[in-house]
Parts: sequence; structure tokens; C-alpha cells
Amino acid sequence: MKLGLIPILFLTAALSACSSVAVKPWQRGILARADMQLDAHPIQSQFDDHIYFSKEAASGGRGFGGGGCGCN
Amino acid sequence: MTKQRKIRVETAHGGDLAGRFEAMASPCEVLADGAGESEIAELTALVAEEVWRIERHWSRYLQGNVVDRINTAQGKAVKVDDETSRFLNYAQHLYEMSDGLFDVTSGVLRGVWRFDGSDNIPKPEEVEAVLPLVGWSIVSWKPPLLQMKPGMQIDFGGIGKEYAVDRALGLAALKTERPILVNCGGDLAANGPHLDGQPWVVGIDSHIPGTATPVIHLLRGGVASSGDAHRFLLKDGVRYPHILNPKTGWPVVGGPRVVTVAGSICTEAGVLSTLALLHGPQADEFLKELEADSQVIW
Amino acid sequence: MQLIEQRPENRRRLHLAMATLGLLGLAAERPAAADDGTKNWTFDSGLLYYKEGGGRVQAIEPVVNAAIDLGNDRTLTAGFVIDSLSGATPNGAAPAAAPQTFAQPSGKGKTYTIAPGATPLDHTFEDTRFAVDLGYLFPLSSNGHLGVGLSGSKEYDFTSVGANTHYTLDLNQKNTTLSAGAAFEYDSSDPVGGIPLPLTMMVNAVKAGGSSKSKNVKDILLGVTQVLGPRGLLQFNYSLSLSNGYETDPYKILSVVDSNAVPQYYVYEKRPDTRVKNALFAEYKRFVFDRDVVDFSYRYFTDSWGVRAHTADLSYRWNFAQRKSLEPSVRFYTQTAADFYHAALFTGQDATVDNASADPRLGAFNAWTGGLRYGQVLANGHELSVRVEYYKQFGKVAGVPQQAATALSQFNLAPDLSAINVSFGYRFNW
Repeated sequence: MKLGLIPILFLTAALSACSSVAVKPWQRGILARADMQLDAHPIQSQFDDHIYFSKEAASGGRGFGGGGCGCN
Repeated sequence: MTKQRKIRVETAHGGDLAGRFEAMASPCEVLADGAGESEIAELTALVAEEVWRIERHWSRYLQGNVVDRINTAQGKAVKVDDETSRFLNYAQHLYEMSDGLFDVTSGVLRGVWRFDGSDNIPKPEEVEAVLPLVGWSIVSWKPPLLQMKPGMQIDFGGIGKEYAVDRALGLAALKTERPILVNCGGDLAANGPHLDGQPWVVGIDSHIPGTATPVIHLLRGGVASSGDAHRFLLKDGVRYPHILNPKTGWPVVGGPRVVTVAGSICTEAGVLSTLALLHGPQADEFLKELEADSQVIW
Repeated sequence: MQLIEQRPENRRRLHLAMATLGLLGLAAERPAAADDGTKNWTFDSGLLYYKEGGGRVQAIEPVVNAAIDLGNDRTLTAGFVIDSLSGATPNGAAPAAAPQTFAQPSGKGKTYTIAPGATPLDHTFEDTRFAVDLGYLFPLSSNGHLGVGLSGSKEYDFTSVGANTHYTLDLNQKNTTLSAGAAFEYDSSDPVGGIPLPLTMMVNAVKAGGSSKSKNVKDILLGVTQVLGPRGLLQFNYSLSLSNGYETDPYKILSVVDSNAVPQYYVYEKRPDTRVKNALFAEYKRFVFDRDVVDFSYRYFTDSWGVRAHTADLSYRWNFAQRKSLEPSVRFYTQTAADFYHAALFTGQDATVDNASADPRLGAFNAWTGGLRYGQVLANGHELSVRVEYYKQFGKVAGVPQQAATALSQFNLAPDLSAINVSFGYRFNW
């Protein structure tokens, strides 16, 4: 009975050291949800940035601080 | 039957939730990417119902179901339901495609072969006696009527689990947008990768001590394994796996220990892995000829 | 094992695949011989309707963003914005006891008159802005991605062009992401009637400062995002913005008043020609109750004009049904006035100050926003959303010249501002 070499073509990334905050590649289900993205509503963020840039002195933080509009 | 007919939701792999239940003598598991507890419970209930339904429908041990009626028909024709009819058509196709290697009437050989790891191989006469009761070619199948000789038996076990996995996945997929994976004892299917595009990571436990566990990265499709890890006979240094050639009545010797195949559907993968084992030493050639995405452990 | 979908050439295999599908009797997986029909385009569109109270600014803004997945982790993006503004905006002058008449910025002799005690508002604002941006994102090295982009916008008195780049690096199995970005923008102002000489008297809106002025803005952004377990993440960002050139608003003026708060004349405002802005930002997102998402963020802002601001934002997304969500949100904002902010100038002050502006945007105020967003995924997978928000600024009086303080105190020098906005969103893949 031969026991040939078993071609393992992929090594999972699971072989790295664990830490309590690290999330394994197969655990990313919840983090991949659309509503868990840092910018979950890009269009609405764009509207907000524009409104607040025109009405307030502060800008930036979430993204670039410049602006890009001549809003009066 | 003293099976545990409950589903439970547990944390799997240290993070995501999995719905679990027992069916077809295997631990079954349902994963749905990003789902919360109530959604997983709902999907698992749906999956479990379908798997248990198929188990009851085609179980060898339940009195009154279609398999029982067929196996106790004593030569009379039996009218079968639509689902069984589709299965028998499929069985016929597989019989023809495999030149008779895949035969759903081969179950009756279990009477003479007891694969308990001992060296009790039957005498040739015992096998000869049962052989006339094996053979799809001697069955009369005119849908929806099935007529077999008295003493013949139908066995849906060969691909029953894979079929159940596919059906259950299909039903669950109608209920949710999330990618789902259904896994019954290593026969599994998924309808899409994780929401972030990453594949499901599945380890195939060959149950053979001393061999590493191959790991599969599945984006979508089905995976099935066939093997002889537990059930075999060993005599004079020759291993007799529980894979029986229906034409000779004897086990196929010299073949691989485990064949794992991936396909677009679990049932298809199951057929290919079973057929590969039946081809014994020619398993690799068979898999190559049929362009099967596979991994073989010799 | 590769386990990617393949199309078997072998006829037997194909027959097997087809027969298996027939067995399953379900609208199941795509057959082995089918094409991989993944959708590469994503369209995200929106419409904003914004309206301030008291007859002030109104805006309608349609937006379309498109993203194309080119495969191999490369994406092309394009965005278009049309922003149509109308309504009244403060011109910077202070209220007075007698009616005030101002020349319209066009300098063609038309005027408008403000009632006694009312905050002077210029009603002649009507502007439509068009903006375009393009971006390309691609992998660079095994864990990095680089994005490059161009942007441009045009309204009748203002043009802007810019370029930006952004690099992200995934570490620690994508649990930690570092990001760094830089942007450059060139803005050119071509105001109606020409550029006024700063801090000079406004006489029938005749302007002697030339016809156009420009400024450039350089931005840097540094950030780190850290995953905190399978259900949460935290982001920290620092942004720095350096602006040089014409920072003044060519349309805004200040009242120069006597000790009885009677306006003697009006002067055009003047702002420094550089501005350095810093912002520190943190955001925390967590998946809770196995169903909902809570999001909290805080930003601290300071700049070289003396403005200091705090922003805190909290939202709770309640996924009450499988494809539906309701998301209430609340935002608090507070800012201090710029160093050169003046509600009005006292006679003679206009000759001594370096810079002066009465633009309410540079004044002191608190602001609250309350919002509610409803989102739904339709049967065809498209996503629909609608959000309503109410914004209110509570003005705080600042920059009042001491000599006229008593007299000016009879007026509301820091009026509140309220606005409602409704925005619709529609997102789909194609």
C-alpha cells in the first residue's frame, strides 16, 4: 500500500500566532457586512461633507480636509 | 430511531455562528456569512427539515416508506413518487455512464460482507449465491413503475447524503441573500464565497491516522469524499474496502483510501468520488478523463 | 485543488452535470457549462434636497457614483455631481435700526434693502455647480492597494481641479490597515463684478482688485484601522491641510459702526492668505444584539485662524427585518470663532485690523443634527434608502467691538440657523 505525497496546495493563514483581537480569515463574515463598513453610506457621507463644509469652519478627519468646492 | 432531532446554534471556529444537527449518521452544520443567531436558527431549521425528510423518505430502516415498499415487493411492480422517480432515472444514467459500476441494486451484497475490520471474508460460493440478485439491467424500470425480482434491494445510500446537502442548500438559498455553506459529515456545498470574497476554508478529515488533513478553499460548489477509513476487512495483508464491484460481488482492491472531489454540485462530486473508488487502481485515470477537480489519498 | 468553476470539455462529464441538475429538480446552482455572470458595475445614486429656514439657502443635488470591478482587485470609479443652489445668504453686515440698502455684487447698480433689525441677507445667490471625479484603485505588493484620482468642479464664479492618491497596507491578516493619502487642489475664483480690494469701502460694489484670484490646497491624511474581534472595529485618522492664496470671500462685507451701532459704511472682508487645518478623528463600529450596528465617532479640529471645534456623531442601525433597517442618528458640533471674526467693526478699526470677517461660518456656535434613515433591499437586490435630517445652529455672540457693544446688543448678532434635508439613495449592481 503506497502512501504517496499529499499535495497540499494551500496553507491556511490559520497557522499564524493567535491573539485575542485577531480575526481569522473565515471569521470575517460579520466584518464583511455592508453595514459594518466604515463608510456604509458613501452617498450620504458625500452629502453630509458638502453640507457641513458650507456651514461650518471645521473639515477633514474622516477624509481629506481640503474640500473641493467653492461653497459659499 | 434514537437520533437527536434538535438543532442547536453554536459558535464555530471561534467566531461565526453555525447551526448544527445530526442526520444520516453524520454531524451536519449550516454556516451563513454574517448572519445573526435568529437567522442562522431559521436557516438551519429549514436545512434540517429537508435533510431529515430525505432521510425518512429513503431510509432502509423505516417501515412503510418507498424503499421499504420496493424491498418487500416480492416481485410485484411498485409505483414510486416523483422524487424517487427522478432518482431512479438518475441511477439508470449513472449505471450506463459507468458501465455498470454504479449500481443501486448492489446493497444486497451487504448480507455476505461484514466490514468490521476482521479477517472474515466470505467464501466465494456465498458471494456467487447472492450475485443473481444484483444488477440494474435485470430491473424493469418504466416510470413510475419499478419491478425487481424477489429478494433484490434498492439502496439510495450511495449519494443520498450529497443529494440532501444540495437540496437543503437550494431551499435555504431561496430564503436569504447571504452565502451559505451546508456540510454533512464532509459532504458539503456552498452557493457563494464569504461576503468579502474570501473562500470557505474546509478541512477534509480522512480519518486515517498519520495523514495530514488537506484543506480546501471553496468559493462555491460542492465537495464530497468517498473512502474506506473505517469499514474494511484485512486478511493476509490485503485490505478489502467496503467498496464492492457489483459485477463481481467482490471489493475493489488496490484503489485509493480517500477520494475527494469538488464539483458545481455536491451530488455530482459524490458520484465522481464513488466512481473513482470503484475504478480501484485506475482511479486517477478515471478522474482525469472526467476532468474532475479532485484530491486522492492512496 | 483549485476549486474554481470550470467548464468541462468532456461530454460524459457534461452529461453527468446536466443529469445531476435534473435530479435535483430545483432552481439550483448554475450548471457547470454556464458562463460566470458576476456583475461588475455598481451604481450608487442619490438626490439631496436641502432647505434652510427663513428663506435662506435651498439646494438640490443629484449625485451618481459608478464603480467598475475590472477583476484582479482593480476598480475604476467615476462620480458626477450637480449642485443647484438658490436663496439668501448673510452678506456679513450687522443688523441696524434703520433700513439698509446694499448694492448687488454684480456691480451693475441693482440694490436690495433690508428691514430694520433684520440680519442682512443677499438674495441674489443662484448657482449651479458641476463636479466630476475619477479614480483607479489597484493592488500594489501583496498587502497593499494604491488609489489615484482626479477631480474637477465648475460653477460660474469658481473653478477647481485636483489630484489625489491614497495607499493602504493590510497587516496582521487584514486585522490592521494602515493608510496614507495626499491630495492637491488648485482653486480659481472669478467672482461676479471682480475682486474687491480687502478692507476697502464698498461703494456701489465697484471692485478694483482684479478679476480673478487663486489658491492651492495640499492635504495629507494618515490613518489606522484596527479590527477588534469578529464584531468590531476602530479607526484613527489625522488630517492636515495647508491652504495658500486667496482665502477671502469676495462677496462678504462688514459693517463699520459708531457707538450707537449706526452703520457708517461697509468694508470688504479680509482673511489671511494661509490656513493650516488639523483634525484628529476616531470612529468605533460594533455589531450588537446579533443584528444591529452602533457607530460612534469624534473629531477634534484646530486651525491657524484660531478656530477650535469638536464633533461627536452617534448612530444606531436597527436591522428590524431581514432586508430593512431604520437608523436614527444624532450629531453635536461646537466651534469657537476665528481670531479675526468680528460681528462688526468700530469706526477706525478697519484701518488697524490685519484681517476681519463677519462670515457666520467663522463665528462661534453649537449645532445639533437629528436624523432618521430608512433602508430597504428590494427583491431584485437593489437597495433603496431615504434619510431625513434636521440641523440647527445656535449662534453665540462673539467679536463685538467694545465701543459699540451696548448699542449692538439690541440686535441678534448671532442668529440661529435651521435646515432640513431629505436625501434619497438608490444602489444597484449590474
